[in-house]
Amino acid sequence: MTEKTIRDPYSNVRLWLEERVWGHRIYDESTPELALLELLNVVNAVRCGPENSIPFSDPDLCEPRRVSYHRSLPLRTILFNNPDIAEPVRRFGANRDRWAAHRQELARRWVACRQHAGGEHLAQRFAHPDGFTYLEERLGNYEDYAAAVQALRETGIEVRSNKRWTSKFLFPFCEGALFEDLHEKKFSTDRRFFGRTGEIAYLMLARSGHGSEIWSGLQKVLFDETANHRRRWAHVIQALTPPENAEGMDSTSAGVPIGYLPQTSHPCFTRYGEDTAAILTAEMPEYDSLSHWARLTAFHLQHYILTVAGEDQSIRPCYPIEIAGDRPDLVRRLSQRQYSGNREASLGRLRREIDRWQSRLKTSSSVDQLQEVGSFWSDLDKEVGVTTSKNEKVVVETMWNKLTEAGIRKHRRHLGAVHHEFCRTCGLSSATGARQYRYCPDDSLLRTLVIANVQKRMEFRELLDRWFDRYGFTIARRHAERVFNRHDLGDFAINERRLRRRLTSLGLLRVLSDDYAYVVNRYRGETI
Amino acid sequence: MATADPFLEFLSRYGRMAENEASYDESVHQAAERLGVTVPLFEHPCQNELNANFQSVNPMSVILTGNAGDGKTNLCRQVCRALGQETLDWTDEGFLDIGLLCGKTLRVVKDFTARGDAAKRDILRELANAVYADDNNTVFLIAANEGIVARRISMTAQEGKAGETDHLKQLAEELEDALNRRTQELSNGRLRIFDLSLYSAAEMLTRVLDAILSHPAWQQCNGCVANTECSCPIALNRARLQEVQIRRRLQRLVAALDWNAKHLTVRHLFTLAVNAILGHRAAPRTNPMVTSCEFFQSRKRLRDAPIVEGSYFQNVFGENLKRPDETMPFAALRRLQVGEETNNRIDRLLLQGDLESPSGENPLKDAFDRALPVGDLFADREGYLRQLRQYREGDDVDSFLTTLRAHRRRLYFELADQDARDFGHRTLTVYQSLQDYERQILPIASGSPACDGMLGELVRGLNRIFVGGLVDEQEGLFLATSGVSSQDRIATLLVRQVRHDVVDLSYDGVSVERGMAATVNRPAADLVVRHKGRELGRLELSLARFEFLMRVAEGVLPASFSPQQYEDFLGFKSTLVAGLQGEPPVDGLHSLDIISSGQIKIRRIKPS
Repeated sequence: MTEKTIRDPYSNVRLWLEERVWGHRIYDESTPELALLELLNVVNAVRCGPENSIPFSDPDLCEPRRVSYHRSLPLRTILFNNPDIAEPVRRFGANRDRWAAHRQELARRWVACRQHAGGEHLAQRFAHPDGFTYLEERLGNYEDYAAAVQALRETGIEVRSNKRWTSKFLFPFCEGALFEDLHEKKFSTDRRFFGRTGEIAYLMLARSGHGSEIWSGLQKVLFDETANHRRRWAHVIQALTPPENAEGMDSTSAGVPIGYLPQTSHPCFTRYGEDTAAILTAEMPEYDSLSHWARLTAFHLQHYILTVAGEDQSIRPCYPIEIAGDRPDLVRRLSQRQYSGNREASLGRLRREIDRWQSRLKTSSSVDQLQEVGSFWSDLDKEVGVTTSKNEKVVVETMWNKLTEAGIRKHRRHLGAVHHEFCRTCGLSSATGARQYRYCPDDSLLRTLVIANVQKRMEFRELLDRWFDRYGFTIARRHAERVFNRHDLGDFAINERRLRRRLTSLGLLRVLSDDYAYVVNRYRGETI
Repeated sequence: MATADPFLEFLSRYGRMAENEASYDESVHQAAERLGVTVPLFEHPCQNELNANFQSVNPMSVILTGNAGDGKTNLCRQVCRALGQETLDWTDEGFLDIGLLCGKTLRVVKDFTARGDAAKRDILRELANAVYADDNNTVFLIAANEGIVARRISMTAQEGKAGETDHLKQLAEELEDALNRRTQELSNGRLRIFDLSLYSAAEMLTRVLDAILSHPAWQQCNGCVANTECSCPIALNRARLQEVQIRRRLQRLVAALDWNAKHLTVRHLFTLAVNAILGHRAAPRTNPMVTSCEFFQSRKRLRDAPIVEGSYFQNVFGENLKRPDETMPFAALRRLQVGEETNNRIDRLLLQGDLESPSGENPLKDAFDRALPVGDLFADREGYLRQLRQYREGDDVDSFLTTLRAHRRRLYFELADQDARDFGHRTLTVYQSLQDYERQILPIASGSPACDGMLGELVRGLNRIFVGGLVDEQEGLFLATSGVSSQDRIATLLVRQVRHDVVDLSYDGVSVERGMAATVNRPAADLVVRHKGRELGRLELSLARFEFLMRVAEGVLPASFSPQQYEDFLGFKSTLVAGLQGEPPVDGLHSLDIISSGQIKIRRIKPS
């Protein structure tokens, strides 16, 4: 497949440059939860798609997968576009009056978005207060209804933020709770918060070689209709969803291919797949595994960016990890330094990529160069202003400069910011107690990484080796000695002891005599 | 005049915190020989069993394991003696072969831990043959540290090298399993593991104290002037430590550590006992003990120092040491916060017991006289009253607070039982529910049938942790989630209510049972939750966890009291919730409201 045919479905992407290295696209405005939510939307779309395929099964790499998400507008109107659900309770005593007032309010809010709400029939139906009578029929008591909505809101994602109501989401309790991000006026697919990051994560897992384990684990969490936790929520969400099943409610982007990931396989995908499979098959109750998975997703996405950034120079990613101490020490300084280095790593790779491209085309004629670059950059004419009157050499020179400029500008805005944003939101980095950010994981991430790496129990030293080998986490002195060429690394030994204490206080470490300590995975039947 | 000097010097060697000294046993014996004293000996509880084994017709091989300092080498020595081997001539490899009555040969390996990797593997291979091969004529007694054995065995099991005998692999696997499950015997009954770290340190303390306090060398102190004048802190400490009540209370502190699986080794106990007797704050900091009687005469600092500076109740907590918080066993004992923890009654007794009340008799007067008897050198009533007066006038506050702490410690040990009850003795350590644990939980832990005295409170504590609010429910266990995760602090959506049926706890509810980890020597209790006759989960109920639940039941906020315990219980909750999978479904959403009385009201949202 040529680069041109790869690009075809994404022709609206004006500059296709970093996409050639990392794919289209990993977007900084996503959070771990949103990325996972987007991923689950893909899973659901694949599962319910025309071919009813099995999610994460090896996708046809030549043909990008096309999916369609749900919009679920009536449900979202009830949940997120309807701020004061308790008001009718305050104003009216009788149940009937409360419902009537509430229906009026819902219809009023619906009218505001009816033009874009999909099929005419549905738009009309909910514009009238009677459109929402099904709620009363199903739930009876208004206070019960209010409590149900309240419970769904409290557990929702981004509900407390000041995001538009079309970018607030339900926690993925069941497939009925999955829907896409929408533009708040046009109600068309919007890539602001679902910026394809989850789609890339999906592709990574599908290409990890662990797809079937992941799918069987995920089925038990979200798609097992007999599971109690799912039934509990599905029942309530079902009750709030209008009886006509999503007629005319499909996404405006139905059938659009999902994101593009250049590599067909990669050690990063394999590790992400292993970790995800370990989390999903750890027999955690109910939805407990999802928060771990969200953190892992954010971590592995940025890890992928960093790994690929150093690949052309065979530089392995390295994270000197400070286990939060009370004073600044060498570990913190090295970690801060590496952190700012890692933040810039992808930009370096991008520059080198442009240089390589340029030197590859050096022998071609100016016209060919302009043509080749033009096919990846729709704004070429506008930016460079190609005219025949100018000296061709000068034009080509300007073109490369402008291209570099535009590429860097774009990179800084989004992909370049991912490392910082995702490290922060997954709990790997923090600026607590210092002015600069450094790698300093929080309790939740440590717990996640233990569950992902420890089958039942593992010697503490072995876990550190494993973290070092798999992720490049430098915690102990012996690892620091392999990374840094210096002799004063004693602080790393203290750092390692801090980790021991920390894991003990998290209930994850058991110490025998002679320094023999092992880390346990509580979910796999190992207790302390 | 004969003095106990050589013995004191010898004892102080024990107190030098030789935490990491290899072949500790040898150096102790060498020192004893040089100073011409006999080593204080005591019988290890498993000694008879070991002797009987090796003298039997069909002896088993034995691995003696435990922490460094548990007395493995010493026990080996005792076994050899019992088998008639008086002088121990170890080979360079640390072996000793003894012919047994049954005709087999006993090979004693005194220090597996110190062998190189290859040698360790060789020993294990030979052991494997002794255990699994039928025609083998050797029996082993191997002393090895727990961690080293575990690591070596797990390495051997993993390597599974080609060419390795099946026996070795089998041994490694079986041993790894046995060490993790803490079972004692291998399947074919030809190898037994004695884990010395599982013997109760509180019980060992009695033996250690007896061995030291009744050592014949003390007879040389009889007739000493300092002894009759009661001015010798050593004599005073020794006398006090022989008193039943003081010993019982010291033992209880060690037991509290036992019950939290915080194991003190025999070497720790020796260190503790020696420091309790010989420790002195005015002695040089490098070895802050009195190592000879002449010390008192020759050193002015010691001669002038108040006798309290060398008192056992301060020494037990390492008060004479430079860095007691980093030195075992004192670090562990200090965490019990004796002297720091207090209550209003004790403090009122100490601060107002001497006051003359204008309306007549001070009700605390008698108790005060009992708590600070006239003429008691450790109580030092006069000195205390002087400091108290200064404190009331606002002088020297800091030093008075130090004195106050010392007196609380003394009262922890010396307050007579009746006064102890009246003045809330139980709140003088961090484990306020120590007594409840001892009376209610330990009998179960040692195998007697369950009683349900505390269960209501335990259920309340669990509910407060599981729901994340000040719930007062004791009738049932509310397993709740926040909707998103069962591990969130506040969880108001019910997963399932498990009835706490006091009538039939084996069917439904929370009970305390003999623990899975319990052995003959180590009591352990588990908290077990059952639902419809099925066990949902169990958690070892250590003293710390019990204390945590009781405090939470009383109203303490779980996450701020002890994050570690809180984590453990959240983990337990997730086990319980996972255990509920497969139960018939609950219709709709059940959200929990805590009403002001602490009861839980369930709102059932049930769409049709």
